[in-house]
Amino acid sequence: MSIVVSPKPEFYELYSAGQVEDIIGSLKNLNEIPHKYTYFKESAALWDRYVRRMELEDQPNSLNSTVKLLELNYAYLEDILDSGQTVNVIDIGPGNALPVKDLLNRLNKSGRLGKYKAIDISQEMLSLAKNNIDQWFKGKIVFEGHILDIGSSGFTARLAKMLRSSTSVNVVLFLGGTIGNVPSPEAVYKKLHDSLGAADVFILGLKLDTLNARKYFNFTEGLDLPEMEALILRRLGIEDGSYIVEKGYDSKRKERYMRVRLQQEVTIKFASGDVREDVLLAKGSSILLWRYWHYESLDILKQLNKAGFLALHSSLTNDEETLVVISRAFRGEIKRS
Amino acid sequence: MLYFKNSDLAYTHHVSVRTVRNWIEAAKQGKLDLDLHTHAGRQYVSNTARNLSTIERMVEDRKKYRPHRAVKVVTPKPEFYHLYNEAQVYDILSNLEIHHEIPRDYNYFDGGAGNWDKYANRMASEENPNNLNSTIKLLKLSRDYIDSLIANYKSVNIVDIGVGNGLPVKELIEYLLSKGKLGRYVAIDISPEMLAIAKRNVEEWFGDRVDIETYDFDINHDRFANVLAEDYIKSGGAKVGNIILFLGGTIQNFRKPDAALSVIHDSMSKNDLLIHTQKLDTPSSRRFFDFGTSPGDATLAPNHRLIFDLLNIDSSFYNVEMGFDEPKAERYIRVRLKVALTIDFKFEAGHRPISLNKDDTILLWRAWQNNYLQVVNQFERNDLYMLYNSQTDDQEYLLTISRIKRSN
Repeated sequence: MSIVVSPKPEFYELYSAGQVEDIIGSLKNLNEIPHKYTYFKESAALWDRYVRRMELEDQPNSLNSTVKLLELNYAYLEDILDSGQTVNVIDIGPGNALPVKDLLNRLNKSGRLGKYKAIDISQEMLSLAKNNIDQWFKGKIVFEGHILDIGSSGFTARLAKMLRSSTSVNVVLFLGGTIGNVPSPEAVYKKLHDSLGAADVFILGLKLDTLNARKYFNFTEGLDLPEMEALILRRLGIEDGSYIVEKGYDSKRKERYMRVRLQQEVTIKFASGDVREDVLLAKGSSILLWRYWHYESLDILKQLNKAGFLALHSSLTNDEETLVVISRAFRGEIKRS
Repeated sequence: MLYFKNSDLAYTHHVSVRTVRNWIEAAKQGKLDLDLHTHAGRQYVSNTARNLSTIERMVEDRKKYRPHRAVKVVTPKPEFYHLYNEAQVYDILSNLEIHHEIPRDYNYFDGGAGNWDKYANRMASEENPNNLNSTIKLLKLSRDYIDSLIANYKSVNIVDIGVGNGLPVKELIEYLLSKGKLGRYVAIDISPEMLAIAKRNVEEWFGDRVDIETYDFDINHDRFANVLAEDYIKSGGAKVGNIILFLGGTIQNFRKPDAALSVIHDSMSKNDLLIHTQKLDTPSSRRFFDFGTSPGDATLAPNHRLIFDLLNIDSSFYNVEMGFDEPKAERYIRVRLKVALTIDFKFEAGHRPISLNKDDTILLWRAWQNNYLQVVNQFERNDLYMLYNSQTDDQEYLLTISRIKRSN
């Protein structure tokens, strides 16, 4: 049995022609829908709800662990930013801005904060972050939203321009394990490294590989497939009943995954503007909707080093599940091994 | 490699590069039976087993057949035997004979301890970043993190390995006292004199608020688990934490840093924390040799010279060399002998002379130069799991916090 489906009109409204082609290519070649496309439209509110739930939890989670480490490392950060310049905070994938709220507050109180610039692929996520910032700080913090895809070829130039647009020193944040979701962390590190100025600081935050983390799929309130991921499938015309959900940890690839396996052959007919393409997905084939690369702290330090970052400071939470690394782009003479 | 580099041969066989060149010249003229290898128009000693045994024989013979009148024979001063026990004398002897070095730990005995105290006090008065003030600064910046690690303990014991004069740890002790969390303060050093200075200082700073316990252990061999065991068993390990301090780059001075790390590892309980600081490899740290008790002193610093004086080796017998050995990634202070030298050591069972050739070097001090990632790897291979590391902004100093790895 085979079915033919068509993406809904809102699919074409939401995603640009380039993004539609990216999704088609990714489906055909990688059996994957890049996760970044799930953060559009109503998904922003879903993400907000998810993070606010974490905010209420007592147990260590990705939100409170990141906030805690930023707090414990603040004295160090302040020390290395000791140049008297104002500090711009550039937040890549800000979510609802909760992870950075406390840091912004500290910098603001010290009188050092310049602008808070958020970068995201989704306008809705940026609006969400902006609303929260405005509400928390009553206009005392300048929010600047930039729609920009870290996967796009122009990212490096755009970010570099943004970082050099003022005399402020920049703290570039890449928190919440977003590095684990991208197809190629190396490519992302390279772009970030090439954008940073000598005085700029890069802060990476992520959850590490632990036995606990490998089993962790607590993203939603009991649904089999989180609503954000189900939504993008529905936008493509793939209804909930046509697949089964698989969540697990692939120890070979060191990747936690969430994917669907099709119960029947599906042809997606893309038709919009110049884009006319049929994508045939065989019965039993899978579509990856979310991944998380599992790394140990040493892996991360090595990756950063390889990408030309000098990790000045790294720290683990007491449960040893979350890591925050403060780096600068390395520009010295000594060869790093 | 098809051939040996001259510098490698010189290093392995404790001869000068000039001597190696002489061998090659002699071989070219057919006077010496060594196979040569031509590379980039120059001739080198081929890497063959036959060549190796020829060289070994030659080096041995050279020792045997030296003209007696050219050899200076010295006997260590009586103070040498007062200061070091027989096992330590033997350790010094065998390190001289096998590794052509004097383990640095022995520099801190007697007057060496006082010299170190002066040196550390000089650092304390400097404004520029140095080993002491960088260590103190990193400890201070890391306080919030350390707090989070010891939040659940009622009290924390400090074990300070290679205590020096106690200055690096002073602020941390003050801080733990102010929080009412300081348990025991245990100072470990190979030198009783150094421990006496630390004790004097701690008593002067803190009076009876801190009861310093001192142990003259050699961290290359002596585990300290037993020192903490009683406490650990009494408390069930729950309310009392231990912080092991290994500060000031002491780790970089050992011939085998991994051996010391392994002793520390084996002395730690599962929740103990190891805090270590050291200088990192940077272009400027490669050039750093300022160890005098007064700044800018280019000769052998007093605590490096101490043991030479005790061995009765006159300063006219050697030249001082300081530098950075790139292949070994080691900063060194060594002497090169201007004369062949026999040191006659005395033991209860009899005499034991060792012979050193003219041009031989004796290493007095080294610091392995590592970048932070090499340090992380070093801890990793010694089964220490790094929770935290932090560098000064000039990237010259590093602080790390680790625990021992547990099996899952």
